[in-house]
Amino acid sequence: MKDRIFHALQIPADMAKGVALMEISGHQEVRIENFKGLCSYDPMLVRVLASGYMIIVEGNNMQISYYSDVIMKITGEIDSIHFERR
Amino acid sequence: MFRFFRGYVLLQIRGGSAERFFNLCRNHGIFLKNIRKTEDTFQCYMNLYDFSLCSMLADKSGVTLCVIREYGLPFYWKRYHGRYALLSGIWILLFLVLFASGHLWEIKIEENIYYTDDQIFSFLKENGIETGIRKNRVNCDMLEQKLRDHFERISWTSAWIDGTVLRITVAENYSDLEAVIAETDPADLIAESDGTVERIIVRQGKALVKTGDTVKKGQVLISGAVPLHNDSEELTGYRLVHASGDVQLLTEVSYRREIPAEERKWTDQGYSGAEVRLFMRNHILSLCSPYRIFHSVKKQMTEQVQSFLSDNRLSDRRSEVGKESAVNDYAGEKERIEIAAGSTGLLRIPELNLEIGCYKITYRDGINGYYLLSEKKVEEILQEELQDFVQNQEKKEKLMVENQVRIYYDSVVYRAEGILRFSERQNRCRGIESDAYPKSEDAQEESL
Repeated sequence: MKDRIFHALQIPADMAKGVALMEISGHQEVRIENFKGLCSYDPMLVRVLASGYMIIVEGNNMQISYYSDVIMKITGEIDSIHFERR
Repeated sequence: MFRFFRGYVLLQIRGGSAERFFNLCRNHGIFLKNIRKTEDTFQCYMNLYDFSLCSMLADKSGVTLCVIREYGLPFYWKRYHGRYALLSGIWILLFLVLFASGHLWEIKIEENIYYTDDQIFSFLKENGIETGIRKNRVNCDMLEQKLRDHFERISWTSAWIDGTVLRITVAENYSDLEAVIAETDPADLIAESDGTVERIIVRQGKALVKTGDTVKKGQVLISGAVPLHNDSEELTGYRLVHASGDVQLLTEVSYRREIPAEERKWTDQGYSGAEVRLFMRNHILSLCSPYRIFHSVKKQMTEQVQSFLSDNRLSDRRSEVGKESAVNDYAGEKERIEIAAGSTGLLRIPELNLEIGCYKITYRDGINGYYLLSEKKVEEILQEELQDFVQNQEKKEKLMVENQVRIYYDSVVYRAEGILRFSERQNRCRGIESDAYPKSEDAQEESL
């Protein structure tokens, strides 16, 4: 029901359901918005907590370019991004 | 740049739970940059202000913070605040740059050929414009007008200030310049304008007119082709000479000059301020604008008008009416004129069909009002202009012999109109083509 109301009002999913927004630029940059927090950080593995699931970014020489309450950006040689239900 | 002014630090985070520390910073609105892991520690950049707040967060997450490096103005200030000579040197430098950029340091004149740079520089100096003066003392519009009025051959001019350089571009008029004819070349002496021959004395050549004849402009007065006759009085040819003699023509010049009885005049009161505008497409945003309050101006204007009218009393019955209208006209006529000055910076983005730029507008204040001119004043002006006109003519070797100019007045204008008669010496020569006249046999032998 809630989904139908949000769809009718054309409210975007990140506002309606609180899902994280990801923007991937090539294989070297990923921007994540609307996340809950940082679970772990390692140059080869970054785990970010989202609503109901976890975003796992694997790669090499990864850095967090910036980290704020709204948005974070991970740069480096990204090999894969996958999700894990909690 | 803002981070530099506020200051930031490079932190090392050791032990405990660094991720928890990052999350706590995030919850408290602390912005972290360039987080990376080095062996068993983490490093990140944090604003100086936020660093002063995060010691509590460090205790909560059990990490140890260590400042590796400091950046920004607060730290420079801490390091150098005791060095008064350095700081005053920086202020003096800024002051000198500001001071120097408000003055004129070079004057460039372009595209002048007939008038030399020195002639134009000395004219500028007479009008108070030279290197070293403040830029706001230069009124480019008035300077252009003065250059056109003073130099005869300048038909167009443009003056503008580019940084600290005053650039003047002139366009000169060469239409009446003629090739010089050497004194050994065959030539006729011709009339420079329409007139009547007053006197003619021939030194070389043959006179084609006599005293009292009416001639047209360009008519030959003394011919350089002297006819040669043989013993039987038959024409055998011509000998070509450079015609010379003393020929005086009486010429008439119509003179007419009008001055309106009511004159609208702008009295410049100087530079009042500048405004910087940003523009994007059709939108203009003013960044700083001078705000003037004109409440005290009306009183000043009335005093000025009173003193003006007391010096210029009108003799006819219109004086009372004129006085009122002048005061009324004055009261609201203070104006500001815009002069676009300074260079325009422009950024074009063709893909978005966008132009973004900025330019500076300089303002000058002045009084724009009606003046009712008195007869005496107008007569003086007209007489002065007539004398200037006559003097200019006399510089061209014309002598005034009769002045029939009279001053007339109708309700709208004062008019000086009439005929001026000049006695003018004729000096202009026109070359003769060598094959225009057949030469005599003797002349041909001489040339061989």
